[in-house]
Amino acid sequence: VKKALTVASGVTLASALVTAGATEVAACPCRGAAGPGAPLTAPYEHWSVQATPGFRTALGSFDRKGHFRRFGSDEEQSATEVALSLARRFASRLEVSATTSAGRNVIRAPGFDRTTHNLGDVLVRGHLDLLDPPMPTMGSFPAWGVGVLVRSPTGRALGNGGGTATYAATNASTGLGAWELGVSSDLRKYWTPRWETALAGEAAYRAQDHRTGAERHLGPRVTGRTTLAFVPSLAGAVGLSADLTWEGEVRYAGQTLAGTATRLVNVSAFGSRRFENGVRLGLSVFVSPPIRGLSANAAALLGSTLIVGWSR
Amino acid sequence: MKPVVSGRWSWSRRALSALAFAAFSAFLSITSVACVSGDDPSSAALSESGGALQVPSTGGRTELTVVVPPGGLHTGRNTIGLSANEWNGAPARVRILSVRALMVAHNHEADPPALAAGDDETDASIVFFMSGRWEIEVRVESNGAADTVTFPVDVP
Repeated sequence: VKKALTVASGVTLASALVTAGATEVAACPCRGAAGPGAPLTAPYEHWSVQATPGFRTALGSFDRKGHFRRFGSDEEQSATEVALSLARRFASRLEVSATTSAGRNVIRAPGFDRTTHNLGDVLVRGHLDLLDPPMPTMGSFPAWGVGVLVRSPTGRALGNGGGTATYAATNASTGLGAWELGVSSDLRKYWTPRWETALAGEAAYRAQDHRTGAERHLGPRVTGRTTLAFVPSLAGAVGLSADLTWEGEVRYAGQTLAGTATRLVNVSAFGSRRFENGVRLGLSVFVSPPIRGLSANAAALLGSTLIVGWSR
Repeated sequence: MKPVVSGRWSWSRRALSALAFAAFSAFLSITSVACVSGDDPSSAALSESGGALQVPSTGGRTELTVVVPPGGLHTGRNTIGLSANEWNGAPARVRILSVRALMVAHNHEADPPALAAGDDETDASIVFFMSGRWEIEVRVESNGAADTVTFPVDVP
C-alpha cells in the first residue's frame, strides 16, 4: 500500500509540475477529455499516441463467496507496467487504435518470491461515433458511440524468475492467453456546462486455447462503467468512475469448473488535461473497495495510472 | 465559455437515448447481482477445514484419496496426501506419476512437487502462491494405462 501511495504521489506531483507551465488548448476537447473509456482522439484530430505507465498492488483477495481477506506482510501481488497506444481517426467519426503493454510482476507468498517480466497482448479497437451532437452537448441528445475489440494473445512471460512456476497478472494486462472478441457501447452527456456523465459497457467472448496444457475455454466477460466528470474548463476534466467486471466460469479439459466465475468492482478518481500543442496528460487512481460481497474470486487492487499522450 | 445548445430533440432521438440508457441500466443491475455461481461442497470443505475426499479418475480406472491436514489449505506451502486405489473392485497396479497445480483462469502453475517414482501413495508438497481456485491434476498409471484425476481446491 505504501508503495502504491508513493507512486501515486509521485505521478501526481509530476503531472502537476508539467501541467503548471502549459497553455490550455483553444479547441473543444468534448470527447476524449473526460476519463476512462474515451476515444484517444477528438473528432478534429487524426492521430494520437499515448503512453500509460501504471502501478497496482493487491490489498487482499475476495474468495468465491465474496469474503475478503487482507494480505499478510509476507504476501504481495503487484505489477508495474506501461501500455503504449496508437490511434488513427478516419472521416471524423471512426477511430481505430492498437494497444500493447510490457510489465514487471511481483508475487510473494510464504515460501514463494518471484519477479518476472511480461509482454502484454495486442488489443485493436474500433470506435464509431453514431450520434454526434453539437459540442458541447448540454441540452441536446447524448453522444453515442459503439466499438469492437479484438485481443490477440501475444502476451507472455519473458522469464520465470528462476523457478518453473508460471503466472501472469490478473485482469489480462499481461496476457490473457486466448483470443478475445468484444463489442462495446458508450453514452456521454452534459447535463450542465460543467458536468458530464458517461455510461459504457463492453461484452467479450473468449476463444478456446491450450495455454495451460489441456483445452481451456475462458468464460465471457462483461464490463460496465459509469463516470461523472466535472469539466472546469474546455481543456480539462476531473471525475469519478465506477466499473464492474464479471467473467463467467471457465471450462477446462471438457468440464465447466464450478466456482471460477469472478466479479470485480473498482472505483477511480481521475483528472485529465489537454494542451494547445496536442499534449494530453491524465492521472487515474483506482481501488477495489475491500467490502465483503462487493467482489468475488478476485484480488482487491489499489493502483494509479499516468496518461501521457499527444494528438494532432 | 457557454456551450452551444443545439436545436430541439427529435422524438426518435429521445427514444433512442432513453432506450440506450435503459439497456445500460438493466445491464448494470443484472451484472451487479450476478453471483459467483457453482460450488463443490466437498472440495470446499476439504480446502477450508481439511479431511479426506475420494475422487474417481476421468478414465474410470482409478480412485484417488485426497487428504488435507486439519486446518485446511492456506497460501504458501501445503502438503496434500494422495493415495491411488483400484476402482470398481478390479485389481490394479496403480502408480502416481506426476502432480500439477494450476490456476486455469490466470495461466498460473505452481512448481510441480517432487514425487517418489512408482508409488501408489505420496505426499505432494505444493506452494499455492495465490488465493483462489486451483485445479490439481494427478497423472496416474493403472495396469499400464494412463489416466488422470483432477479435483479443485480453494485456497483462502
